Amino acid sequence: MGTIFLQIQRIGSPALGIILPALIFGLSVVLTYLMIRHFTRQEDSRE
Amino acid sequence: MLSFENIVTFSVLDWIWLIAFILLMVIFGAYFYRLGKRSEADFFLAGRGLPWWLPASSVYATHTATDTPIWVGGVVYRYGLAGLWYAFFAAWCAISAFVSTRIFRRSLAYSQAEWQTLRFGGLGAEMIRGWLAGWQVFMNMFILGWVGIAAGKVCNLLFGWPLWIGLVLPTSLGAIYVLTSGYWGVVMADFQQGVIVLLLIFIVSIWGVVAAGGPQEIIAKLMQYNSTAEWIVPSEVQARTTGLIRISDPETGEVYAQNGAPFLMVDSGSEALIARTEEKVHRMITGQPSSESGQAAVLFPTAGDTLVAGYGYQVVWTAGQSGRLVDVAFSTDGGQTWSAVIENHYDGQGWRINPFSFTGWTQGQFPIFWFITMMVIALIGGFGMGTSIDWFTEAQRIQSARTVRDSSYSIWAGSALVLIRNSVWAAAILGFFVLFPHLGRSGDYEMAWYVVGFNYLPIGMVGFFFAGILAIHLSSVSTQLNLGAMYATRDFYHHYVNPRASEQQLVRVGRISTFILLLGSFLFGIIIGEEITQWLIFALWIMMAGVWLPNILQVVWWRFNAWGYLSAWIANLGLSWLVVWILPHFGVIPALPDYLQFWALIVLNALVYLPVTFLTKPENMDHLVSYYVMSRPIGFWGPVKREARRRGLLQKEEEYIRSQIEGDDER
Repeated sequence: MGTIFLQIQRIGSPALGIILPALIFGLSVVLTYLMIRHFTRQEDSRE
Repeated sequence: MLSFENIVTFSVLDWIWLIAFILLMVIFGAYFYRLGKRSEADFFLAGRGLPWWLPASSVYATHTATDTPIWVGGVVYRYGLAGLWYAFFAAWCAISAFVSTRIFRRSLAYSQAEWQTLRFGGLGAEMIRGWLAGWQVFMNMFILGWVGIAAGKVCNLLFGWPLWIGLVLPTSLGAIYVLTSGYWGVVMADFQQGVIVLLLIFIVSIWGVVAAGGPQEIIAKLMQYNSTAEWIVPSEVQARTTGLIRISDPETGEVYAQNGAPFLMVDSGSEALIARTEEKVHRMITGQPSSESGQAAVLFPTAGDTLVAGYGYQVVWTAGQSGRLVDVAFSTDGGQTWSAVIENHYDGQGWRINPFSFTGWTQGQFPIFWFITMMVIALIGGFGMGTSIDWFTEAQRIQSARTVRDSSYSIWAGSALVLIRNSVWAAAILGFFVLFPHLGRSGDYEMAWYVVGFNYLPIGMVGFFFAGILAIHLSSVSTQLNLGAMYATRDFYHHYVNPRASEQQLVRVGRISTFILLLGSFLFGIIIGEEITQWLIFALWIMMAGVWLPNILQVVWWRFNAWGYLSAWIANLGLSWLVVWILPHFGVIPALPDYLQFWALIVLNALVYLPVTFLTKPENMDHLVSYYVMSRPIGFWGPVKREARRRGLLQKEEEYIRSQIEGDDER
């Protein structure tokens, strides 16, 4: 196992740990909702 | 030492994000249970009704697995930006999107194995279908095993879990929505995972570049660092052997630099010794180059250094002229005889930012012949089916698209995203090299992207990063589980065992097959262990090299028949073992570089399948006409096309085309 001089060097404000994941999670939820609505409507129209 | 246990601390916020993303992905995939259970076509192809962007995101997400950053990180660390050519094979989709993708979609075959019976006829076709289906189920388990063990490795480094927990737990999460919703769950979760992962890759790569000081700083440091060449100290050295290193001109033999006094090699050493040595290597690489004085010198290993046999180091010497190629050699007999560490290797580090930094036609770590071979595989392969190991997963996505046009767009866009992703990764890996240029063992620098993410992202982002790694993993394993189950259900159960099975029976068999594949993958994962790369390369070779050309011929040449194709497969299985492992092992032939293995297998296999093709009858003309009318292949199909026209089977389309052209003229 090689040596990597690992010293934790967290870059950026800790607030980014909330903001960035929240934005991406929110985007995922919205896309999830839109997908479910799209395919539910498609199936309803077929039936 | 490289251990994530030292750097990764999960805060409450990290756990919250991790659990939130896992729930979102798994529940979303399982939500489509109602659609997946309706029929075989739904469970395996989402009813063939998807708009192009869904299979496209699935192509992208599927081909971003836990071992992908390991692999891309490894080749970019070792070869610089030129390493991206290794990952350029995804470009086969750019050609395929307009050739084999369209032909395959028109055939309406569920799987590649089924397509073989449409293209070929009789006993030979049935044998190919059975063989290919069996091979694919095996390969799916195998891929699941190696992707699973890569996840096991990451979990082991992160949390200290035994490998088997990381192998079993994440893959089982993916199995939840594959078992419930089949391909509907796979493709929907892939879309969501693709979005998460693409954003994550951009974020981590930006962090990696920033950590290294930004793009200008990375380039400046690469131009400043001393020269390096990877060297694994021969494991057969005797205890306490002394050694010398020499840097010389490849053409004239002029020695640029050589140790004044020998260094020591031992057959084992403590971790403290290795750590101390590598700290020195780091210092020597990043120190000011002494070539300004005009005197080149070997900086590592030198007198006083102790190297451990079997361990990988970076040999360091002062950076010389930009663009100069050198030979690096070592001697264990005081300089009387020399063995190559590497030939035709670039001086300095500036070559890493040149994607065309090839090391001669046949020599060095990146010869031009290797590049040409990769381009041939990537671009010409798009004319065939099965020319890449990825074809079999793409084939499922192609058939799930709602039209031929949608299938084309999906394959093109999915692979374009893969190539963009690789480039973004490469930027982060260059940043990683600037920070950690001393690593001489692929197992260490292959973890570059993971180290960047866990080392530099802020608290909270670490949990999200791990959720992203899980997303990468789930998208790959869910695809392989569903694909393997499709071959087992469609090509074995439905075709051979119970051709009259009801849709509900087929879905049930699909679920049982998924579960068996899951268990089988755990077994394979344990067998594969940690030697991922070696297994991966051999699996790709055995899949590709000898049958690469037959996979193209079967699409573009009417005369190529089932017996020719079958003989190519059989010959390839034997010949690839011989050429890659057996003959070099017994010293019958030297160990060939990868590109020579490829061409050797192409030629040797052709000596088998071409005579077999010409000595056996062509496929039945009725069968060929039926296939031609359905699939409209391109290439050398003259006799079949003439026969189809003679039977009046092409008139409608030709009249339609004529009317379109005339319509255009009138407009």
